[in-house]
Amino acid sequence: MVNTKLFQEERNFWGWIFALPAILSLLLFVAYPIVFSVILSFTDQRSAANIQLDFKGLQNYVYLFTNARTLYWPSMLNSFLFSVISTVIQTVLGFFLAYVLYNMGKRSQAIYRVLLYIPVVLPSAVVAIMWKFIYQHDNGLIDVILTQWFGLENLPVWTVTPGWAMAAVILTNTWRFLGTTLILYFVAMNAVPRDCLEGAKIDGANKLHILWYFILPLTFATTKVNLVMSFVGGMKSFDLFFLLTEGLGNTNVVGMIIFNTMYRQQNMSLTVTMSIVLSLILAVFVYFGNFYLKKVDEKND
Amino acid sequence: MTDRVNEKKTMDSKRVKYIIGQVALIVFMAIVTLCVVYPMLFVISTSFKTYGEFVKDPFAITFNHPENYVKAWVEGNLGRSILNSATVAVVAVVCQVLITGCCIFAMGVLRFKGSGLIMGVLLFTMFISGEMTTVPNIILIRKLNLYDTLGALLFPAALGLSAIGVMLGDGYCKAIPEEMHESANLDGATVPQMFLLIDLPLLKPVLTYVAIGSFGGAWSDFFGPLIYLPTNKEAHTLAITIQQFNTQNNSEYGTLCAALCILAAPVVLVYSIFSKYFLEGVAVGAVKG
Repeated sequence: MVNTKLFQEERNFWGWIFALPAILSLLLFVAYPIVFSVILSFTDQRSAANIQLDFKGLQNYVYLFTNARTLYWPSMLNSFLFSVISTVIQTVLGFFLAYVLYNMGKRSQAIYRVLLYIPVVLPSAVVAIMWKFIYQHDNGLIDVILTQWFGLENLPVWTVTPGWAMAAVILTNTWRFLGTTLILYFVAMNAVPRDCLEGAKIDGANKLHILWYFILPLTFATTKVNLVMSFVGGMKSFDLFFLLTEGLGNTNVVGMIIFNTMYRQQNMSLTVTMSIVLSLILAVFVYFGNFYLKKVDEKND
Repeated sequence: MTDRVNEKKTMDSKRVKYIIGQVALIVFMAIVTLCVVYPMLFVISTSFKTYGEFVKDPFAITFNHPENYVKAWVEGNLGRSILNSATVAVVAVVCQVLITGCCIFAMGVLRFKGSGLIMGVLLFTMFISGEMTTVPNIILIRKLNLYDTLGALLFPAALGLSAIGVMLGDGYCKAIPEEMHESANLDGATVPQMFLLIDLPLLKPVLTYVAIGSFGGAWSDFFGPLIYLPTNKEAHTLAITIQQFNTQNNSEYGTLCAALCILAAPVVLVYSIFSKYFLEGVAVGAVKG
């Protein structure tokens, strides 16, 4: 007991030492990029090689908000469309599947949980090439099924035709991330107290009643997380578009525009300005989204 | 009498409804399973076919041409890329498990002043977009003279911290009784000894989760090599090599699918073996984030 105080001091000392690598990591990969991004956004830095930090005030922001030719805002709209549609499909389908899984036997649960989650862990290069292959004109899986089984002809090229291209990415994206939504709901449903449901069953509630009046409101916290995660993820998504449609067929999303500004146009300052504006817009969306969802939650009670 | 008949009728209609419901459910699950699993099976079966066989019957399941894998390996020069990917993945796993493990110990067990601040920063990291850090990172990598070398991938891998891992671990530490450390302290154990002998073994599930995440992230990363290694093909990892292989040999379906299977196999295998730990982490991460 005597050395408790000493022990506390020792703890602080060793605490800093053990946390040192983590602090270094956060400084290098979180603090530095954010601060430097903000600084860069006020300069006119084109290349990533010679950093000159030539301050030009709000020039990049003014350009972004006033230039009518910038593809930034139309691409933001594309991202928004993509994000909202995939979020709705993924959440509804994920919730329903999780409920089906919840009512299954232990053994099939274990198998399905692993099986439906495999697409999530696949490298994005594999997912994209695989689906490109499926959407391929004439001898891709989808075209073969539609022509050989249903006799359809003159099919559009799925990844290039406006409208279809977006639908193709949404389908692939849903295929890929359905597992995440499903697992989150599944975990949440298992946390709902069983005796509460048993009581409802004795009172004559059927499965649909239980789903609607108990499971749905009691997993609302997860719905919130799912909606926010999936929406933000959708707004930021880049790799599937880059690999699958390359921006063709009206699929130039904001991630693609930011990437092209950096990679092809080689304009670093404008790139970070675009990223900062996107982050701020997302922060506002998440804030108001949470606010609205909280209200819905209160109503539920 | 009529009452009983009616009762039987409603019982029957209830049964019929129940059976229809069950059948509908089974059909629905079968369709979903098919949609999720079939694209993967399709790629696996195509990886064993020649182009002619594929065009003739894309749905047939044959295993006649395992040489596609050899061809993919040789033509795509995958050996070198696999070595690069494996190096980055191993460095990522070892370093990130170590850094995250130490951080969990400092915050969850030692509870030093400053834990709160770190936790705040970690929560914040979940909201910043990856694009925002890309440009500063390229500039940093250039300044360190690592641009266009494997070092450009090794450096961030070696200094990565798993934010979800720390949050998951923090919860785990609450379950470790305080007395264990106090009595160890009375017995004369130093703090590093406590870490190695008491907490590290107890944190094994969390660290397994961190290891799987680090491995998958490093192995699958496609964006990093794309922007950090524009010209140096010798330093390319498997994901980017296969993506470029795809744009060059568009019609060699069998070989391409074989290459995809080689790229996907390690992550799928690791995930399937350790899925228990992984799913737990996904859940906790989402709830906190």
